[in-house]
Amino acid sequence: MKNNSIKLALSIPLLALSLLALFPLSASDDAPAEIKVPSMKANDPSWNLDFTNAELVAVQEGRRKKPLQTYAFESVEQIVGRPLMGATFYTDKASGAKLNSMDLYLSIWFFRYYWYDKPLILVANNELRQKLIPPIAIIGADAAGYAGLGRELYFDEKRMSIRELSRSPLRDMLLAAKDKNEEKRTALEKDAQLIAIRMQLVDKIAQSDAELAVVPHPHNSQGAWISLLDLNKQLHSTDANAAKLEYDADNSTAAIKAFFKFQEAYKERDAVKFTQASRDFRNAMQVLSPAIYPTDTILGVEVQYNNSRPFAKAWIVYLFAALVTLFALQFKSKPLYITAFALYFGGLALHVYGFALRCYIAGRPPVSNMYESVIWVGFGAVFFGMILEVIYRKRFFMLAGSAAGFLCLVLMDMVPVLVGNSQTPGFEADLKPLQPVLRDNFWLTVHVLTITLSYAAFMLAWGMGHISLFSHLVRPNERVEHRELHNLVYRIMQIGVLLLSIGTILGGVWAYYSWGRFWGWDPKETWAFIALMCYIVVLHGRFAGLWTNFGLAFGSVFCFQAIVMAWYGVNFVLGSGKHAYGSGTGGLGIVTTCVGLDMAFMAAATFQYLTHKGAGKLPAPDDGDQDEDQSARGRVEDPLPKPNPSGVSINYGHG
Amino acid sequence: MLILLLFLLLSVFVWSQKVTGEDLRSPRLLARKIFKFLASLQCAIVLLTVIIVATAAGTIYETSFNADVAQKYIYGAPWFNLWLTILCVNLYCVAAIRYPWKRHQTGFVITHAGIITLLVGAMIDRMWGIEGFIHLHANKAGTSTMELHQQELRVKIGDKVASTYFKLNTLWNERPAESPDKNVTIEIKDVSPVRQTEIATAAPASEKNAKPGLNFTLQGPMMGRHDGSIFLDESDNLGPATIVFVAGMPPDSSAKQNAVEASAELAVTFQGKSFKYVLKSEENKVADLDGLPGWKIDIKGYYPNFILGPKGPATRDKRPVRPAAYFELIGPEVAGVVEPASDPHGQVAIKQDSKNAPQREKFFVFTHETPLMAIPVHGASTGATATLTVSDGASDSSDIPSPNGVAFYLGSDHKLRYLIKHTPRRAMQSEDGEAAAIEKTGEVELEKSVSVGWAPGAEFVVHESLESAKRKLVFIPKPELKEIKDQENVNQGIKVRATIGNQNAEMWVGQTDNERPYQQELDVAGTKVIFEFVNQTVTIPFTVSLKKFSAPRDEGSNEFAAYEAILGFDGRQDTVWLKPGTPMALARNATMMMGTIFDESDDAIEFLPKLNPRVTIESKDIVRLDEQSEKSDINPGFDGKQDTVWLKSDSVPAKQLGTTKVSGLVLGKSADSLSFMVKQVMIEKKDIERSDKLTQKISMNRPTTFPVSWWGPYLGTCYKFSQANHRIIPGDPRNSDPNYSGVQVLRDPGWLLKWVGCIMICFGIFTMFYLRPYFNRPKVAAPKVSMQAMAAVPAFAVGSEAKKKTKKK
Repeated sequence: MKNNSIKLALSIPLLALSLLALFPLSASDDAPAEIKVPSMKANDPSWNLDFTNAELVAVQEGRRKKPLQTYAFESVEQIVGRPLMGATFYTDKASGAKLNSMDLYLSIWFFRYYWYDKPLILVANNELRQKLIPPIAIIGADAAGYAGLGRELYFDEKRMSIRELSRSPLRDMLLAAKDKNEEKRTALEKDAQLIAIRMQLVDKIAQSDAELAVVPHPHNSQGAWISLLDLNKQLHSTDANAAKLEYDADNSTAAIKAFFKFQEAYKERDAVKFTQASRDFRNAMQVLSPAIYPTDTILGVEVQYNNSRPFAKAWIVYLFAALVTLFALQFKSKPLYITAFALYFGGLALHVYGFALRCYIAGRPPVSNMYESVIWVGFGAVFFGMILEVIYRKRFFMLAGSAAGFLCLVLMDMVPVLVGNSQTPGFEADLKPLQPVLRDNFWLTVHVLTITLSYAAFMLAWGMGHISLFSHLVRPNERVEHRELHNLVYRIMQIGVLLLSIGTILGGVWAYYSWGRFWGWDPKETWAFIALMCYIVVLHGRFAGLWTNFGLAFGSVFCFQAIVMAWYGVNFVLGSGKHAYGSGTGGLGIVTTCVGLDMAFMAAATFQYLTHKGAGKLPAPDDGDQDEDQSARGRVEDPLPKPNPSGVSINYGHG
Repeated sequence: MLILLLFLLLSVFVWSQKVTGEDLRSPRLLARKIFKFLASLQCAIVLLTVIIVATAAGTIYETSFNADVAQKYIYGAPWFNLWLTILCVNLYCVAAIRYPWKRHQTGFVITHAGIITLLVGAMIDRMWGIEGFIHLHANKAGTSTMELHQQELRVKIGDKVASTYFKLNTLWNERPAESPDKNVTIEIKDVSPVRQTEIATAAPASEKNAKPGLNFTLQGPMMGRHDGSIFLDESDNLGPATIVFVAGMPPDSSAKQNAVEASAELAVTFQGKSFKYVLKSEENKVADLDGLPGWKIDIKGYYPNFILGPKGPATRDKRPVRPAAYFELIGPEVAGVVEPASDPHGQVAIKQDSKNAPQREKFFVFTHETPLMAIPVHGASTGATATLTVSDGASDSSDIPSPNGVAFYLGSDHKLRYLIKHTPRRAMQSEDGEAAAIEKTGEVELEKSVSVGWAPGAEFVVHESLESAKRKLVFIPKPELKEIKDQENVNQGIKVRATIGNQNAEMWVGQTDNERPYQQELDVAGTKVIFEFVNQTVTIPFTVSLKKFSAPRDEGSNEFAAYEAILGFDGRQDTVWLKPGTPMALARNATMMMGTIFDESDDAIEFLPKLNPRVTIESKDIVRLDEQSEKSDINPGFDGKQDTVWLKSDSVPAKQLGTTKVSGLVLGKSADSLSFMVKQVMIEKKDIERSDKLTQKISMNRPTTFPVSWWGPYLGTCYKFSQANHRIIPGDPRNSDPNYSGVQVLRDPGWLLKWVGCIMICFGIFTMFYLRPYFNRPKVAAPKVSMQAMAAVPAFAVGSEAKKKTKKK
């Protein structure tokens, strides 16, 4: 089953001229000559409009109902790129005006010709941009006097205007790419397809009159909403074959009028008028079908989620928590420790708050794509870290937990929206309805949450493993500290193994009901199994004394690579099998680099361990802190286990 | 395999009994040595490591080839099964060597026993389980034929039939196939995705419909390969090009090589009016704009091959490589000239001090042939928009309707000639674009490729030219389709060779789009060999039929939200008994209704009667009509979307049907009446005495089982039906076929063991990790829990343990 919408998006956006002829609604969409308002400066405070009401206009887009703000945010983010640290402004270099996503959305909608000539579209690939800058742009200065030439003056470093792009060799590149298989397309061609999607999106915004489904369905909550243009057609059509007006005629007329007022107020940029007009417009839409229209609460929660950006704030808090914990460790300071814990808890609270909002909006556990699962795993690592910190009070869990939370959230906040290609998604953050087979909140919750929580536990073990290896690296003779750390690693690894076993088995049971068989060696299943076996081997080997506790710390880092493969690799590298709905592309470079660095770190720590083995402080006598399995069989980690005199029997500690 | 496994377990158990209690450090017997090795952790780690590496390799196999290959060489391979069996034995031995078990080993024993149980369950499934696929069609009799994931080649000679089974996806090399006749050797030589194509084969001229035909190939690195055939007086549109075959001689096209200059059309939309001007190069003209007093257009130039020279815009030559037009709109004089706004947000600057001057704006317009989007040039101060289009210029001389194509001419001298037409795409960036279509003629030589020029390296080859030919359906290998992953609709085919003595013949045999097999005949040394290539099928002991399939969509889109099917087993139907005297009972003159219950709400059921009556409803009787079905030639009523009519309660049709709300299809509409096919009726619960639901509904995540029994789903002794597939209507990807459902069928007798094993594993691990202090407690109540045990568990666990103890005390 292929995703048809993606296929549609792939088709080259050769939008016909005729589309433009369909525009009776906004016949005067350029700045009308009769409105003669003195020019206002962009830094004038009265220039800013209050979008609170306009944000709450409901639209049906992407298979669900959402506030206009979400749609504006998502589409603007796709077009101009995701801003770092949540700076949601686009600066129009021509006028110096700063526009937030709502403002930019409405501006493109109501002044589309202006924006066709402005550098809006992100062309992040330098090589591609060099190819696409058309020769005509260079003569811009000479031709500044002509309409249709010379608008490329406002040259942006990373962005190009639609007109520039439409004169560029982009079309030829797209045509060349069109008939190729996804794997055969060059990176440049894939990027070119992204540009086409962005262009299409600008055009879609510009034609919101006809494209934006803003008029609620008259009676069916699952029915398709229509655009303002459709409503206007229904209202005024004299054609017998045309769709009949399904709304109250007076309300419809009022709705169209309210829209014109809204448009006018925006164009005039009259703050007072706009606030009133946007409220009226929204109410007029709601009155058309009050039973179907989403409530203010639902829309408000989503607007709040968008505005508060809890995950972006949480990673900053986690970063501070990690730093303060480090200091607390270094200086053995209790006040610092308490501060760190407060920060840690604060970050977790923000994290949970974001999750709760997301769950409420989506109506399902938010673990359906890479973005959501990374954020969830971050939460799990922080959560387990906190529980174990409360129990053991060793500060290491807090360090590892906050680092893991920071890492997950910062990664998801920084990756560009469209790192994927035109056919497969990357790390999109927008909420989408699930594939039919996943629409079962019971299984989604028990299977996916359990599996991802095990990833979280292993991630925490991975963090702890790093602390342990780091300790081996810089303080190779601190045996007591090592032993303490190893024991902590063992604890968290146990949680992971238990959760991964349960999660994998639950996956099998779900597969039995949805796909028809319990186990089919699907790549995702197989890699979950492999990861589990890796950890099992590590635990058993340590148990039998094949390796020491250093082996456990090493294993916690090494085996996490199997988790990375099961989690990221199967969907983003292998890309085959039945878990394809999680598939995507992008991030391979970052992940490979991280894995490589990790390997190097492991090698360094191992070298340090091997060279210092046997030297240094002798381990303290068994103070009860050590694992019971070992003490039960009376074996300590150093030196290496002696060869068994019998040569045959291996004592497991079971007998 | 299972028997082997049981035997192994048994024997090992016997050995373990022998060695228990003896000194393990002085091995005497080889068996004991083996046993101890099998019970060792080193062995376990080796086994696990190999499994890890092998399965990891399997996932890579799956990605680079397909799931069947991974299955054949790894997951389903005998050595892998053996390896799992050894793992089973190892798990058993590890536990057995510690017998009698001590209290603290509880978790360890449960876990290991759980894994063994699970693996045994998997083995049982592998041996006695069955998995397949059933194609179901609504409104058709039930089927009991189940397709397996394995293919079959049936060879028929005379009335003898032989079958060969294989998995297509793992067929790499040539392999022999079963032959019904000892004298005929059958081999499978190759495998590839195939496409059904018509070819021209020689036929006697006397035969009906026989006419000249030829087989050709069009290919190129950018366009793939097209093998086709064409008959006289026919044409074939291949998308980028058209192929025609006509009688006569190709027209002399040399005179047309220098085409006339292409003309350009400038379209201006201004103040709600449209104006059009045909432009020639370097043309200047000034014209009034009709209906807009005081306004005129000054066309300053048209530049077919635009460059911006030192003196301003100019053209290189007359070829329309980069066409551009330059014009100015001049209006009546006004006080203060409106300047273009630098910012759109309500700001239009006015030059306050300027004198009276005409409003004017200059426009520079390029053609929109290259641009991705046709954005007209828009003047900011006048609000006018302008576009420029360039026609193709040269007219056609040949019989080829499209810009590119090949025409074959069969002359009266029986020679075959070709004419290739090629219209280069004008590219803005190309410095030497060409204008008109290029035509090339020549005489056809068989098996000699001729370049066509439409795309780099594109060429055609004529393989066969027949004076008298007829059509024949064949399969042509399309190896390039192999690369398109998850293409469920690509048909597979194999190349077969039949040999008798030293004579042989080869042919491609393929699967067809419909589920019926297609028999193909091969003639070898006078013997007719008939091939049939199908998925292997088995018969299940009952019939399944599809009562209804629906695929609701997500709101406002064509994405599927769910797939649901209602299945009937062994011809079972639902029955509703109506209360006597209710309108529907009176209308039907019966209280019992057979059919299918579609949906049930609190106060009504949606019912599909076995027969669909057609009624004529007068407009005056209709309260409301909701037309949901999209009408199309291909299929009425997409996605099970239906029309619904609400009738006036006292109207004739309402009395006839006994209900006021009916769903179905509007078959025809006239000014005052409606022809309607009733598919569903709403029966209110208060009118129903009782109902008997025997049909079963399945959807994603909600399978059903048959034969129905309470234990079946647990033991896995019944068949399980899961909704697996739907079919997109060819040519209309938005719509799924409402009459088709693909159902996955599984019978897994090992299911109970798998279940039990899974629960044991989870519980065992939990016990090992977190209940250890409890099981570590000596049987005789110890005075206190050892410090070591205390330290081994998290504080909270110890706390709870302590609490438990105090309670017990």
